[in-house]
Amino acid sequence: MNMMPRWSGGWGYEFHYEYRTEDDLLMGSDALFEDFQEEVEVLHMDWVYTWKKEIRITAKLPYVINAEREMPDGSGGKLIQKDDGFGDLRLALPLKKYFNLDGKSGSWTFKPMVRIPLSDKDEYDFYYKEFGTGLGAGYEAETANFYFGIGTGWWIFHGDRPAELHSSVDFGYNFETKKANGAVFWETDLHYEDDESKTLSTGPAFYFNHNDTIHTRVEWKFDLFDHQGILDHGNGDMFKVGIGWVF
Amino acid sequence: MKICTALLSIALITGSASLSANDDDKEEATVEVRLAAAKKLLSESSQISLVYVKGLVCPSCAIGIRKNLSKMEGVDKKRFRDGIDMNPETQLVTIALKKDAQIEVKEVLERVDDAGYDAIEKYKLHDGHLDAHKFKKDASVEVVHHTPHK
Repeated sequence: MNMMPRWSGGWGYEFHYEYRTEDDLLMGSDALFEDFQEEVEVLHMDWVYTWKKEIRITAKLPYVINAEREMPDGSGGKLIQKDDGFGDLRLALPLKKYFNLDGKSGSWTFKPMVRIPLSDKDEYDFYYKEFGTGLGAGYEAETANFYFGIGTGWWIFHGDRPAELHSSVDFGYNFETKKANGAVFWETDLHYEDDESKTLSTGPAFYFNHNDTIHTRVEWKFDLFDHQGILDHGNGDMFKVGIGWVF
Repeated sequence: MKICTALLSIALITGSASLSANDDDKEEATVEVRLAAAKKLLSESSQISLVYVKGLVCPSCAIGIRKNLSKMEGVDKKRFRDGIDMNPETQLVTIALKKDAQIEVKEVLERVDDAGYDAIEKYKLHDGHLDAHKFKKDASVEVVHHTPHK
């Protein structure tokens, strides 16, 4: 839903429910503790305002409904840790350069980003709870039938967190019904952290634009490859469903 | 949960496939397709203005075109959706007009540009031939005669 609103003065908001589960505690690519799970439910609240077609501002605020993970207790058993509440607020200023060709349209994006923690650190934090600054860049192009998008973002944190790199490659097929339209995507994400952690996940997404105001999106991703630089959960799945309004 | 998500994904893909089966005949925009579509539309409809908007390929990204153009004086909002029909295959935008209404070229150019797209030309039928009124930067038009192949 990041393609809207393209018009000056356009604005919108979205809610996404995310369910994430990871099955093992990894060290490197090996499951050091098998069947030590992490299960997380998050409500994402996103807001966007397009000042001019080239300049947007976005705000993303996650709320952890419930996060629970199993860790070794040191005596062969499991220690259960929990987390909930607001995650880190992320603000971005996407600057876009659009191009329009015969039968094709797209944009280049450059975006500075900041990350603001809204609560103090704990023994288990699903979100980082550290100030961070980042830069992102992207390219997307579309024809009446097909979509292609590629993006990357680099974050550094003002605390203990290692720097992070997120990259994505998305392919889509657009379709139309009589009064609405949508797209089916195959999306692949690479997440790299400066402690040698790297995760490659992929999966389908379905987007439907019900009318000029309401749109919905469902996505599922699973890990193709997971390598953790520190003892951390991995080998997971992510399911997300969202609804958005644009004006 | 893994089984649920897998099943849901399969259902999504299957559902999407059945929806997209409705548009098997979708054709990528070409000049010939666009001109033929323009001639057909102008032959069959009255009180419309037909504009070629370069880059109009994604209906959801182009919502701003409808939002902006529907605010113009003389648009008949009772026809199409808010008086505007957008076709991503031909990149044609059809503006429904009230009786005897005219629209300003300058305003069309500005409103389409504001939505993130480029208005290139509008079409008129002239003795059975299609004329393209190409927009210039100063909002004047240059008439180009087209004879579509089909």
